[in-house]
Amino acid sequence: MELQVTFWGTRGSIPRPMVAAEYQKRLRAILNAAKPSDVGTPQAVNAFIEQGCRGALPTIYGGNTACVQVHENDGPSLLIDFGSGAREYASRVMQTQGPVSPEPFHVLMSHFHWDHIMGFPFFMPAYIPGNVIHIYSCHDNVEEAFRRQHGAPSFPVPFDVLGSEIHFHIIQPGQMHEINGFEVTPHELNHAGRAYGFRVERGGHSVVYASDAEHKPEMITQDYPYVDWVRQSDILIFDAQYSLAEATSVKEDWGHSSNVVGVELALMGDVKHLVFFHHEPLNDDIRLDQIVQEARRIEEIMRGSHGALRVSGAYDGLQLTLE
Amino acid sequence: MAPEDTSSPRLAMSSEDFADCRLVSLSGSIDHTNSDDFIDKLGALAGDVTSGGGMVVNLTALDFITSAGLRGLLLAEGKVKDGGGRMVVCGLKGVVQEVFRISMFESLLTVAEGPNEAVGMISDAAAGAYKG
Repeated sequence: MELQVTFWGTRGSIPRPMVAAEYQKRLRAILNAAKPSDVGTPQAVNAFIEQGCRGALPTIYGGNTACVQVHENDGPSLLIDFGSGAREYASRVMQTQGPVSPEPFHVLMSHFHWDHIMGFPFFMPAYIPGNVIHIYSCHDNVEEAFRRQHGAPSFPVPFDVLGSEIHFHIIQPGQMHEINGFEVTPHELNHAGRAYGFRVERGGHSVVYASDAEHKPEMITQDYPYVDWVRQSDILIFDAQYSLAEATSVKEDWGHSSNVVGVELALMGDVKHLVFFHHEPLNDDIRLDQIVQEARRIEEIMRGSHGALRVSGAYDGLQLTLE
Repeated sequence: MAPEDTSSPRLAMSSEDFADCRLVSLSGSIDHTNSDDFIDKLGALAGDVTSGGGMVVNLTALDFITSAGLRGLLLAEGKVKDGGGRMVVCGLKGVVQEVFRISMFESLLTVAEGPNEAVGMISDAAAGAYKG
């Protein structure tokens, strides 16, 4: 059975659209890299693009905030976090299934910082009678958090006007919960106000969503409970917003980690695929590609007797398949 | 003053004072098995550095360092600064230099090429004593 992970929003803190100057800079780099034969025919243009424009086309990470879907193809699905990427997800669902989803939505909430909840007022299925939404959280103020955002003075439409049926569920960290056919084990993460990650398992596959977590270097020992929680997971979605220097100095206690610490923890936990997430809004696509490349080098340096660890950067629209 | 040996498994550590500069030399590896010990020992050496002087940490013979080791350097620098001194790291090469670059610690700590340059950044007296 295949399990898929679709990234609808991968940016941290605040949405980060590409501005005109950045777009033009990229276009300029691509045109400068092109040879006449690259653009001679439509087929040549396609090949030029597919091959990365001779290195001038970085990964396009996108700008929506946290929203990840773990699902079977046309099967059971879990959504994690209502960042601005949830609007894209809702659009896709309504295009493919119509305005009323035949299946309830099941959504895990890591915490309620703005970038993880801001997509809910623009989650169109919530407005449409007939839709059912189950929201799961380890925070007992989950309903209050959604109601507070969804009304004056922050938003024109009160929560009580929403036409869908919305249920809130409190779940417990450290316990396995059966949710829509998935085994979900929440884990508390070091983040202001507490965030929770989710280990999601189904059909022998395991995906760990662990955004918004600050792992201080002194925490990283063999008996760090996080290491057991992520152990041998197929995919670890990891918050690598800062450099290690930032995370241990000027941005210490801001609640995020680095690519170096991500590699260290993933190696200790025998993770198969480390996927960076919650990207720093100050970083452009070129810098984010560098962060991934540098992490691959750190992985080579630190691998030791561990098996090879695959390292990637999540981008809006990325879909990973576990077979 | 004769060098003092404060080594631990996989990491050798020695220190020697030159005028108002303490030169700490490391060799081996700093990893998650010995980083706590390293932090304690380097912190102790940093704690009584002379005000107005400083400490040089020579990494020329260090083969490997983790995030916890880098944090140990940062904590030691804080102690030296608290005592009115200055800390300089030198001798970055190979893997250690790569880890410094990728983690961006090169911009966080004061880095010199080798011990001669680093000791000279502490004081003229220290440079003179080191060259002997």
